[in-house]
Amino acid sequence: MKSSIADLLSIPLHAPTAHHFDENVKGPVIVSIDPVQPESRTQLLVKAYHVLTTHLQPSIHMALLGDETDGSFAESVEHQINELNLNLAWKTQPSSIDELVTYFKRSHVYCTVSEYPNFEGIEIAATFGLPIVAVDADGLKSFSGDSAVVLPRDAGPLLIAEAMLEVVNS
Amino acid sequence: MADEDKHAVDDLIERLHERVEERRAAGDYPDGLEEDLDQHFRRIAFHRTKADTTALDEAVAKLDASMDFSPRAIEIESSFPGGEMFHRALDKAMARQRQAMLEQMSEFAEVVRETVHVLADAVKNPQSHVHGDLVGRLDVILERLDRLEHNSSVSGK
Repeated sequence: MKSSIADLLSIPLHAPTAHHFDENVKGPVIVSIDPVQPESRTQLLVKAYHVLTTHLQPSIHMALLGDETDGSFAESVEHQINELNLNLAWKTQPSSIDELVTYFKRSHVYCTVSEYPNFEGIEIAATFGLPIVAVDADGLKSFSGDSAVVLPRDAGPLLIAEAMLEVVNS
Repeated sequence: MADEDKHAVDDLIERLHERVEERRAAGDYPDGLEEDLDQHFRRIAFHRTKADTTALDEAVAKLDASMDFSPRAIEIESSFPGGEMFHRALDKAMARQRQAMLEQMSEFAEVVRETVHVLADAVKNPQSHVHGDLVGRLDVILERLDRLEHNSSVSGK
Protein backbone atom coordinates (compact mmCIF):
# COMPACT_ATOMS: atom_id res chain seq x y z
CA MET A 1 0.00 0.00 0.00
CA LYS A 2 2.83 2.38 0.91
CA SER A 3 4.44 2.09 -2.49
CA SER A 4 1.11 2.67 -4.27
CA ILE A 5 0.41 5.76 -2.16
CA ALA A 6 3.90 7.08 -2.90
CA ASP A 7 3.17 6.49 -6.59
CA LEU A 8 0.33 9.02 -6.36
CA LEU A 9 2.89 11.80 -6.31
CA SER A 10 3.82 11.11 -9.92
CA ILE A 11 0.24 11.19 -11.22
CA PRO A 12 -0.39 14.34 -13.28
CA LEU A 13 -3.16 16.80 -12.45
CA HIS A 14 -6.70 16.18 -13.68
CA ALA A 15 -7.04 19.12 -16.07
CA PRO A 16 -10.75 20.04 -15.48
CA THR A 17 -10.33 19.88 -11.69
CA ALA A 18 -7.12 21.91 -11.83
CA HIS A 19 -8.95 24.44 -14.03
CA HIS A 20 -11.79 24.60 -11.47
CA PHE A 21 -9.27 25.35 -8.73
CA ASP A 22 -7.54 27.99 -10.87
CA GLU A 23 -10.79 29.75 -11.71
CA ASN A 24 -12.85 29.42 -8.56
CA VAL A 25 -10.69 28.67 -5.56
CA LYS A 26 -8.99 31.75 -4.18
CA GLY A 27 -7.70 30.85 -0.75
CA PRO A 28 -6.56 27.92 1.37
CA VAL A 29 -8.40 24.60 1.05
CA ILE A 30 -9.23 22.08 3.76
CA VAL A 31 -9.82 18.58 2.42
CA SER A 32 -11.29 15.42 3.94
CA ILE A 33 -12.02 12.01 2.46
CA ASP A 34 -13.86 10.36 5.34
CA PRO A 35 -17.17 8.86 4.17
CA VAL A 36 -20.09 11.23 4.69
CA GLN A 37 -21.83 9.26 7.44
CA PRO A 38 -22.72 9.68 11.12
CA GLU A 39 -19.64 7.71 12.31
CA SER A 40 -17.41 10.18 10.48
CA ARG A 41 -19.17 13.04 12.30
CA THR A 42 -19.22 15.06 9.08
CA GLN A 43 -21.71 17.41 10.72
CA LEU A 44 -19.05 18.30 13.34
CA LEU A 45 -16.55 19.05 10.60
CA VAL A 46 -19.09 21.36 8.94
CA LYS A 47 -19.83 23.09 12.27
CA ALA A 48 -16.10 23.68 12.82
CA TYR A 49 -15.72 25.00 9.28
CA HIS A 50 -18.68 27.32 9.89
CA VAL A 51 -17.00 28.70 13.03
CA LEU A 52 -13.74 29.10 11.10
CA THR A 53 -15.17 30.98 8.14
CA THR A 54 -17.88 32.93 9.95
CA HIS A 55 -15.95 34.04 13.03
CA LEU A 56 -12.24 33.70 12.21
CA GLN A 57 -11.18 33.75 8.56
CA PRO A 58 -13.78 33.81 5.78
CA SER A 59 -11.72 33.01 2.70
CA ILE A 60 -11.01 29.34 3.43
CA HIS A 61 -12.51 26.60 1.25
CA MET A 62 -13.43 23.06 2.23
CA ALA A 63 -13.82 19.99 0.01
CA LEU A 64 -15.54 16.89 1.37
CA LEU A 65 -14.55 14.01 -0.90
CA GLY A 66 -15.86 11.00 1.01
CA ASP A 67 -18.28 8.40 -0.29
CA GLU A 68 -21.91 9.10 0.55
CA THR A 69 -22.74 5.76 2.13
CA ASP A 70 -25.78 7.08 3.97
CA GLY A 71 -28.00 9.00 1.55
CA SER A 72 -30.27 10.51 4.18
CA PHE A 73 -27.34 11.72 6.31
CA ALA A 74 -25.51 13.09 3.25
CA GLU A 75 -28.66 15.00 2.36
CA SER A 76 -28.77 16.43 5.90
CA VAL A 77 -25.14 17.56 5.61
CA GLU A 78 -25.93 19.16 2.25
CA HIS A 79 -28.78 21.11 3.89
CA GLN A 80 -26.55 22.02 6.81
CA ILE A 81 -23.96 23.49 4.41
CA ASN A 82 -26.63 25.37 2.45
CA GLU A 83 -28.49 26.73 5.47
CA LEU A 84 -25.26 27.94 7.08
CA ASN A 85 -24.44 29.70 3.78
CA LEU A 86 -21.08 27.99 3.50
CA ASN A 87 -20.56 28.98 -0.11
CA LEU A 88 -16.91 27.96 -0.18
CA ALA A 89 -17.58 24.39 0.98
CA TRP A 90 -18.53 21.63 -1.38
CA LYS A 91 -19.18 17.93 -1.36
CA THR A 92 -18.06 15.79 -4.27
CA GLN A 93 -16.79 12.33 -5.06
CA PRO A 94 -13.74 12.22 -7.35
CA SER A 95 -14.41 9.79 -10.17
CA SER A 96 -10.77 9.04 -10.94
CA ILE A 97 -7.47 8.77 -9.13
CA ASP A 98 -6.01 11.78 -10.95
CA GLU A 99 -8.98 13.87 -9.81
CA LEU A 100 -8.37 12.78 -6.22
CA VAL A 101 -4.68 13.52 -6.57
CA THR A 102 -5.48 17.01 -7.89
CA TYR A 103 -7.56 17.74 -4.78
CA PHE A 104 -4.67 16.69 -2.54
CA LYS A 105 -2.11 18.64 -4.58
CA ARG A 106 -4.23 21.80 -4.44
CA SER A 107 -5.27 21.57 -0.78
CA HIS A 108 -3.51 23.00 2.24
CA VAL A 109 -4.82 21.05 5.25
CA TYR A 110 -6.26 17.57 5.73
CA CYS A 111 -8.88 17.27 8.44
CA THR A 112 -10.65 14.31 10.05
CA VAL A 113 -12.95 14.31 13.06
CA SER A 114 -14.18 10.77 12.48
CA GLU A 115 -14.67 8.18 15.19
CA TYR A 116 -13.15 5.76 12.68
CA PRO A 117 -10.66 7.85 10.67
CA ASN A 118 -9.69 6.86 7.18
CA PHE A 119 -6.02 5.99 7.81
CA GLU A 120 -5.37 5.76 4.10
CA GLY A 121 -6.55 9.36 3.74
CA ILE A 122 -4.15 10.44 6.48
CA GLU A 123 -1.33 8.56 4.79
CA ILE A 124 -2.11 10.18 1.44
CA ALA A 125 -2.22 13.61 3.10
CA ALA A 126 1.15 12.97 4.75
CA THR A 127 2.56 11.79 1.41
CA PHE A 128 1.49 15.07 -0.20
CA GLY A 129 2.95 17.01 2.71
CA LEU A 130 -0.38 18.31 3.98
CA PRO A 131 -0.55 19.20 7.64
CA ILE A 132 -3.25 17.20 9.43
CA VAL A 133 -5.84 18.28 11.96
CA ALA A 134 -7.56 15.33 13.60
CA VAL A 135 -9.73 14.51 16.57
CA ASP A 136 -8.34 11.59 18.55
CA ALA A 137 -9.63 8.11 17.78
CA ASP A 138 -8.38 4.58 18.39
CA GLY A 139 -4.87 4.15 17.02
CA LEU A 140 -4.71 7.61 15.49
CA LYS A 141 -1.89 9.08 17.55
CA SER A 142 0.45 6.17 16.95
CA PHE A 143 -0.43 6.12 13.25
CA SER A 144 -0.18 9.81 12.48
CA GLY A 145 3.10 10.33 14.31
CA ASP A 146 4.27 13.93 14.55
CA SER A 147 2.59 14.97 11.30
CA ALA A 148 -0.78 15.69 12.90
CA VAL A 149 -2.35 18.01 15.42
CA VAL A 150 -4.46 15.46 17.28
CA LEU A 151 -7.11 17.15 19.37
CA PRO A 152 -8.82 15.51 22.37
CA ARG A 153 -11.74 13.18 21.66
CA ASP A 154 -14.23 15.65 23.12
CA ALA A 155 -13.01 18.56 20.96
CA GLY A 156 -15.91 20.73 19.84
CA PRO A 157 -16.28 22.91 16.77
CA LEU A 158 -14.57 25.94 18.35
CA LEU A 159 -11.37 24.08 19.24
CA ILE A 160 -11.31 22.33 15.87
CA ALA A 161 -11.80 25.66 14.11
CA GLU A 162 -8.92 27.21 16.09
CA ALA A 163 -6.71 24.26 15.12
CA MET A 164 -7.68 24.63 11.45
CA LEU A 165 -6.85 28.34 11.58
CA GLU A 166 -3.52 27.73 13.30
CA VAL A 167 -2.47 25.14 10.74
CA VAL A 168 -3.72 27.11 7.72
CA ASN A 169 -1.79 30.19 8.82
CA SER A 170 1.38 28.46 9.96
CA MET B 1 6.42 10.60 18.33
CA ALA B 2 9.50 12.14 19.92
CA ASP B 3 9.01 13.69 23.36
CA GLU B 4 9.83 17.15 22.02
CA ASP B 5 7.19 16.90 19.27
CA LYS B 6 4.62 15.56 21.74
CA HIS B 7 5.26 18.50 24.07
CA ALA B 8 5.01 20.93 21.15
CA VAL B 9 1.60 19.51 20.12
CA ASP B 10 0.40 19.48 23.74
CA ASP B 11 1.48 23.11 24.13
CA LEU B 12 -0.28 24.02 20.91
CA ILE B 13 -3.54 22.39 22.05
CA GLU B 14 -3.26 24.22 25.37
CA ARG B 15 -2.85 27.52 23.50
CA LEU B 16 -5.83 26.70 21.28
CA HIS B 17 -7.98 26.08 24.38
CA GLU B 18 -6.88 29.44 25.77
CA ARG B 19 -7.68 31.16 22.49
CA VAL B 20 -11.21 29.74 22.52
CA GLU B 21 -11.75 31.11 26.02
CA GLU B 22 -10.25 34.50 25.10
CA ARG B 23 -12.53 34.82 22.08
CA ARG B 24 -15.54 33.78 24.13
CA ALA B 25 -14.69 36.43 26.72
CA ALA B 26 -14.17 39.04 24.00
CA GLY B 27 -17.54 38.20 22.45
CA ASP B 28 -16.00 36.99 19.18
CA TYR B 29 -17.93 33.78 19.69
CA PRO B 30 -21.59 34.49 20.48
CA ASP B 31 -23.04 32.92 23.61
CA GLY B 32 -24.48 29.48 22.92
CA LEU B 33 -22.80 29.16 19.51
CA GLU B 34 -22.04 25.45 19.91
CA GLU B 35 -25.52 24.70 21.24
CA ASP B 36 -27.10 26.64 18.35
CA LEU B 37 -25.08 24.64 15.82
CA ASP B 38 -26.04 21.37 17.54
CA GLN B 39 -29.72 22.30 17.50
CA HIS B 40 -29.54 23.45 13.92
CA PHE B 41 -28.21 20.12 12.69
CA ARG B 42 -30.57 18.15 14.96
CA ARG B 43 -33.49 20.02 13.41
CA ILE B 44 -32.28 19.28 9.87
CA ALA B 45 -31.69 15.59 10.63
CA PHE B 46 -35.07 15.33 12.36
CA HIS B 47 -36.89 16.63 9.28
CA ARG B 48 -35.04 14.14 7.08
CA THR B 49 -35.86 11.04 9.07
CA LYS B 50 -37.35 8.49 6.72
CA ALA B 51 -40.17 6.13 7.57
CA ASP B 52 -39.60 2.38 7.57
CA THR B 53 -41.57 1.25 4.54
CA THR B 54 -40.42 -2.38 4.54
CA ALA B 55 -43.92 -3.76 5.16
CA LEU B 56 -45.35 -1.50 2.46
CA ASP B 57 -42.68 -2.62 -0.02
CA GLU B 58 -43.41 -6.28 0.77
CA ALA B 59 -47.15 -5.79 0.32
CA VAL B 60 -46.66 -4.02 -3.02
CA ALA B 61 -44.30 -6.79 -4.20
CA LYS B 62 -46.90 -9.39 -3.22
CA LEU B 63 -49.52 -7.50 -5.24
CA ASP B 64 -47.16 -7.35 -8.25
CA ALA B 65 -46.60 -11.11 -8.03
CA SER B 66 -50.36 -11.83 -7.93
CA MET B 67 -51.23 -10.27 -11.28
CA ASP B 68 -51.19 -13.42 -13.40
CA PHE B 69 -54.91 -14.27 -13.85
CA SER B 70 -55.11 -17.52 -15.82
CA PRO B 71 -57.55 -20.37 -16.40
CA ARG B 72 -54.66 -22.69 -15.55
CA ALA B 73 -55.07 -21.67 -11.93
CA ILE B 74 -58.64 -23.08 -11.84
CA GLU B 75 -58.57 -26.66 -10.60
CA ILE B 76 -60.73 -29.24 -12.34
CA GLU B 77 -59.79 -32.28 -10.25
CA SER B 78 -62.57 -33.80 -8.15
CA SER B 79 -62.74 -36.46 -5.43
CA PHE B 80 -66.17 -37.61 -6.65
CA PRO B 81 -66.39 -40.39 -9.27
CA GLY B 82 -66.82 -38.76 -12.68
CA GLY B 83 -66.46 -35.32 -11.08
CA GLU B 84 -63.37 -34.39 -13.05
CA MET B 85 -65.13 -35.19 -16.33
CA PHE B 86 -68.08 -33.02 -15.25
CA HIS B 87 -65.78 -30.11 -14.35
CA ARG B 88 -63.97 -30.45 -17.70
CA ALA B 89 -67.27 -30.25 -19.57
CA LEU B 90 -68.41 -27.30 -17.49
CA ASP B 91 -65.05 -25.61 -18.00
CA LYS B 92 -65.35 -26.01 -21.76
CA ALA B 93 -68.94 -24.75 -21.83
CA MET B 94 -68.09 -21.68 -19.75
CA ALA B 95 -64.75 -20.93 -21.43
CA ARG B 96 -65.93 -17.78 -23.25
CA GLN B 97 -67.57 -16.22 -20.20
CA ARG B 98 -64.64 -17.21 -18.00
CA GLN B 99 -62.14 -15.61 -20.39
CA ALA B 100 -64.18 -12.39 -20.47
CA MET B 101 -64.32 -12.32 -16.67
CA LEU B 102 -60.57 -12.91 -16.41
CA GLU B 103 -59.89 -10.05 -18.83
CA GLN B 104 -62.12 -7.70 -16.83
CA MET B 105 -60.43 -8.80 -13.61
CA SER B 106 -56.98 -8.26 -15.16
CA GLU B 107 -57.86 -4.75 -16.30
CA PHE B 108 -59.30 -3.89 -12.89
CA ALA B 109 -56.30 -5.39 -11.08
CA GLU B 110 -53.88 -3.42 -13.28
CA VAL B 111 -55.66 -0.17 -12.36
CA VAL B 112 -55.53 -1.14 -8.67
CA ARG B 113 -51.84 -2.03 -8.96
CA GLU B 114 -50.97 1.29 -10.62
CA THR B 115 -52.96 3.18 -7.97
CA VAL B 116 -51.20 1.33 -5.15
CA HIS B 117 -47.80 2.15 -6.69
CA VAL B 118 -48.69 5.85 -6.91
CA LEU B 119 -49.86 5.81 -3.28
CA ALA B 120 -46.75 3.91 -2.11
CA ASP B 121 -44.47 6.41 -3.87
CA ALA B 122 -46.37 9.28 -2.26
CA VAL B 123 -46.00 7.72 1.19
CA LYS B 124 -42.28 7.09 0.70
CA ASN B 125 -41.51 10.55 -0.67
CA PRO B 126 -42.15 13.21 1.99
CA GLN B 127 -41.88 15.95 -0.66
CA SER B 128 -44.99 14.67 -2.40
CA HIS B 129 -47.37 15.68 0.35
CA VAL B 130 -47.45 18.23 3.14
CA HIS B 131 -48.92 18.09 6.62
CA GLY B 132 -49.09 21.86 6.96
CA ASP B 133 -50.76 21.79 10.37
CA LEU B 134 -48.10 19.47 11.82
CA VAL B 135 -45.19 21.39 10.28
CA GLY B 136 -46.49 24.65 11.75
CA ARG B 137 -46.90 23.14 15.22
CA LEU B 138 -43.47 21.50 15.06
CA ASP B 139 -41.79 24.75 14.09
CA VAL B 140 -43.37 26.54 17.04
CA ILE B 141 -42.35 23.74 19.44
CA LEU B 142 -38.78 23.56 18.11
CA GLU B 143 -38.34 27.33 18.35
CA ARG B 144 -39.59 27.27 21.95
CA LEU B 145 -37.26 24.37 22.73
CA ASP B 146 -34.31 26.22 21.17
CA ARG B 147 -35.08 29.31 23.25
CA LEU B 148 -35.40 27.30 26.47
CA GLU B 149 -32.16 25.41 25.86
CA HIS B 150 -30.38 28.63 24.93
CA ASN B 151 -31.65 30.45 28.04
CA SER B 152 -30.77 27.59 30.36
CA SER B 153 -27.25 27.29 28.92
CA VAL B 154 -26.71 31.05 29.30
CA SER B 155 -28.05 31.17 32.87
CA GLY B 156 -26.02 28.07 33.79
CA LYS B 157 -22.74 29.81 33.02
